[in-house]
Amino acid sequence: MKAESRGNIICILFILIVIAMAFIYFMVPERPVFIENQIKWWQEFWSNNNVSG
Amino acid sequence: MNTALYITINFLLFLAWYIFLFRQKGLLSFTDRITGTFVLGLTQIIVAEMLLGIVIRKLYAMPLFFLNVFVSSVVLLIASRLGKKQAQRTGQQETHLNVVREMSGKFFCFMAEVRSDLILSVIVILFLAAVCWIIFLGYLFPSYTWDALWYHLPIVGYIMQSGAIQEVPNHSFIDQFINIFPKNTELFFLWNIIFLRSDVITDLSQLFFTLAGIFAVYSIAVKMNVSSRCAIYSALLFFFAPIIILQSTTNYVDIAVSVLFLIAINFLIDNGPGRDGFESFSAATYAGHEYQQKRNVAGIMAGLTTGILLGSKGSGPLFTALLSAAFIVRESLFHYRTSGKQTVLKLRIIIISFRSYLLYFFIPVFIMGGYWYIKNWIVYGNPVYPMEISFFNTTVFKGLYQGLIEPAPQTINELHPFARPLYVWLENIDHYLYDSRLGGLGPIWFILLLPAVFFSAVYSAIKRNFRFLFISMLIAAAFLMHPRNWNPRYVIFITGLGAISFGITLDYFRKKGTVLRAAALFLVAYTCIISNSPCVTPEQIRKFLQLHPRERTIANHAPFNIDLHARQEYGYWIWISRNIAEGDTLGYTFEPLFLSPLWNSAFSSRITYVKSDAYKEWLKKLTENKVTYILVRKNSEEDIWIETEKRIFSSVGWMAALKEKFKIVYADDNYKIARVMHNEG
Repeated sequence: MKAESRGNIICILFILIVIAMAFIYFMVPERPVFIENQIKWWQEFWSNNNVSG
Repeated sequence: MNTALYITINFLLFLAWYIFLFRQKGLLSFTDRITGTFVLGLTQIIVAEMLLGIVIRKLYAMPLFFLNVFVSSVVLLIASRLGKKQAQRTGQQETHLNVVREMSGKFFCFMAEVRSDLILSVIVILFLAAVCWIIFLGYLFPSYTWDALWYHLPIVGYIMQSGAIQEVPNHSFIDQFINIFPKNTELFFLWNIIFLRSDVITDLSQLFFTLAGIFAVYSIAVKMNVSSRCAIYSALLFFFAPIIILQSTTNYVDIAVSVLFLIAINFLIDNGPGRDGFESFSAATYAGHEYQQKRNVAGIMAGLTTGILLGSKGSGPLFTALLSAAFIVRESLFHYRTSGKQTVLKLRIIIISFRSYLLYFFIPVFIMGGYWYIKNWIVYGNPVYPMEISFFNTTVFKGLYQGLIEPAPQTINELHPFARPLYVWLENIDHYLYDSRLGGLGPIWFILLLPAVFFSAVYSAIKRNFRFLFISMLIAAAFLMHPRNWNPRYVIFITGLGAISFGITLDYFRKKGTVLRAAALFLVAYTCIISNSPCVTPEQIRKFLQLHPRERTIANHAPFNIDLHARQEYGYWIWISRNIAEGDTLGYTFEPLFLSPLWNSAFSSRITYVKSDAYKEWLKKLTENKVTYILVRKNSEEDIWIETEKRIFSSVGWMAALKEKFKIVYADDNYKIARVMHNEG
């Protein structure tokens, strides 16, 4: 039981670290521009497909 | 016919080595035999090409085909004899049907693992979709990357036009690098062109390394005693780094180098009795002589892999030194443990370890990678030319450069060395590129794998899992010692460590790890969506789908990465791709932006640099080199000679057509191509 609760705490801690890392990663100033570029890419992809289809 | 030749030789070559290793199945696990088949196949390809290209100087499709048919037949014969010996020993006859049975058995085990985990099933589907997308793009577009056009493919072109692996005349800056670079991976690029007589799939060469890397990561994870399901997670997450996805369609060598490093590490780790993976060996396998034999076989495989790595890139010696040290440590520890830990035996242990190193590791390394360095030593007086090697202010090997040829960007230089990788891992970029310097490892590395590396290191230290600590130290050392470790493409191997660590972490958390698995799925899907590069736009995909395959050339592609520099070259590149046929020789008189587009797409034409101070001398050189077309810059000396010649002959009237030495076949604002009329001359 003790080992299991320790495991739970470690798991929660790890998940918190992952969330923190995700927050740091997605909050860099260039990220919105990056995502915007990717959205543009896919918009162009679908519009091209529709035109050719 | 060409496709049939290519498929036949590849099928025969890899099947022969797989059956050969199947006969050694007591010594290598299934995944090790898969990666082993890749390494041995690659070894055969490189050795056969070097034999034909350096010794016989007849590196052409048919000699290469027949040599490999012969070698593969011998391998199959040996495998058959090994099978008979095995049958005599065990009383069980291994038929070829057993090879298929084993394959299908492993496949069903894999499917059972995947089906029992919905998240893993979706990741597998995304992985298959991404691989299909890579193949589609690789097939549709020509090789468009800067270094591929600059020297990776010209290396192939020069070998194919002469049928020999030799030094090329040093006419431009890039020629000296074409001469000095180790060329093992380029020989694999050549393999994917020479039979097909087309460069259409050579840009997918690195995809084979990517797939081998997936198997290697899986195998290492299993050897870390990770359950097979978590090991599959590890293997697939290794793939989902944007730099790997994007570089898998390019003629670069960075994936190859990192994957070969991981494969070599995999072979250096002993395969302990597994827990519940379908890679488990029985405990009996670990007894006595067979165990030693297994270590030797794995050692040779590690040596061959390291040798191919050494001969693939200039950074090869760094990885070779680390893997050599790892091999010696592994051997010393093994002999120390088995010798009863007596102090008097220390010297003997060192001697035995070095003997094993020389026999099973160094010799394969030297055979597979040593040639390029020895050749440079003989030709340039320095094995790592053009880098100068100094030791305590004493120059050991003289070279042209003392530091790095390609300096780091200003943003990176301003940062503390420890902050540089972190800055790059955060990916302060607005798009990915096959060589994106300030990003490329992707969100999975930073968000999931990096914390998993630290967790697994601590967990392994507590649990005294020395195997993981061993590979961590090895990979960390390679990362820290690499002079350009801030650049993601040079250190792709760290994602391998991250992926293995994630497998260990998932295995530790078991059912509690569902959140992490869900996060992995989210990030995998995100990576699939965002791994696009501006070099391949939807507009270009649509345009290329409508083009005839022969028209799918670099000039029609006009990729973002070269467009600004290459725009004025497109005209003559298109003319060459349409008109230069097999047997034609294109002479050029200036230092072109890229050499690769001067060949036709089958690399069956020739190129040659023809320059002279005097017109008559130049004409003589054109004849000597059997130049059929000459490419000149407009208003250059050669252009003036050609125009003067034309003016003189046009004044002769109807005789001009008979006497003309040059016939202009292409002209734009900057360049001209003239057909050289030898017979009339």
